[in-house]
Amino acid sequence: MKARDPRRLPAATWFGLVGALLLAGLAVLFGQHFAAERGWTGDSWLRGALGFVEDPRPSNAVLAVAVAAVLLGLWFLIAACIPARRSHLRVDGRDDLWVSPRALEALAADAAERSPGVLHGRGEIRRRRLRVEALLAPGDHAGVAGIVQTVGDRLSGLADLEVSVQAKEGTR
Amino acid sequence: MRPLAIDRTAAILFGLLLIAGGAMVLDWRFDLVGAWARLDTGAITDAVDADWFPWAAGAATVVFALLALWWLLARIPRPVEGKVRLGSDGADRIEVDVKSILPRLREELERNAPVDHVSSARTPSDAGQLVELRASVDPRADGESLVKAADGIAASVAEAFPDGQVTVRVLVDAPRRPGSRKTPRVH
Repeated sequence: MKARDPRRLPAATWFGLVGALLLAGLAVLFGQHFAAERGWTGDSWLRGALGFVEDPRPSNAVLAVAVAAVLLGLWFLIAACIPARRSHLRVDGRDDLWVSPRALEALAADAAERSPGVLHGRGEIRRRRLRVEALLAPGDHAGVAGIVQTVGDRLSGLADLEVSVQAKEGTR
Repeated sequence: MRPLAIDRTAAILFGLLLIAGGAMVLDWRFDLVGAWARLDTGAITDAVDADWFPWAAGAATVVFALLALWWLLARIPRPVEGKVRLGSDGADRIEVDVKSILPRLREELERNAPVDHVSSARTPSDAGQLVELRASVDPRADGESLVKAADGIAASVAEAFPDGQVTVRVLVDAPRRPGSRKTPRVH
């Protein structure tokens, strides 16, 4: 058995949970009908719910339920097809160290903040690109190249990301 | 929670059923293709009124309840067998309980790498078990120290289990509270 890449739970798992609860709901509905027909409880919910089929036109409540059912059904179909997302990035082709994108963002933000003249830093990873937003101290013309260098040095050996820095000078 | 193969199939089935039911009512209201007009609603009410229907409903209750219960319980993670065989000779064999080395591995990672909140999990692998160590990174950490710590822990495990009965994998997560270590603004 090959060890699998670390992944999040697929969306279908949560919908499986919803499906199990829907099935339990159906069981309750049929069980109540059975009990009502045997005379153990009052009126059957199923009979009351199915009364609408004799109406000449659907009521607004039935229409609302139908629209909700179509939307929920579409959501189910989409969720069933979404693959489980990777939760961590592989480090340099090795199998024993994986880093989550959020961890890399935190390291990059910290590295940017430690560059001279930077007041605040924030990192964001989209696909294989790391975007660093840096707020520079007013009047301090620290080089963007310096920030790229610091961030690159900090992440060296962890991830091969394309680093871009967006620097903004703070107002006094 | 663990993912089940049945989840995808069942989600597709439920989705199609919900869309079909909803579309039927929408067709009834807006008369798009006339499917509702062709539907014999009398048959539905007759079926519900029939003598056999309560018994069918009773049977459906049992089947649905059992299915729902199984579907809910099947996703509870199964415990992974703790023992790994190191070697055997005739009737004699040596086994190690991997659970017993986990605290040691967690401690080693926390001591050698700039991480905290280390947790561990085991999954079966090719030759034995894979130990996954998850940790929150210290934002002040650098790549080199993390790689070095992972190298060290992998080397020590490889030395102890040369045939790969136990392998280790380090997963580095984001810091626990990202806001707590921000450099304060000083102006």
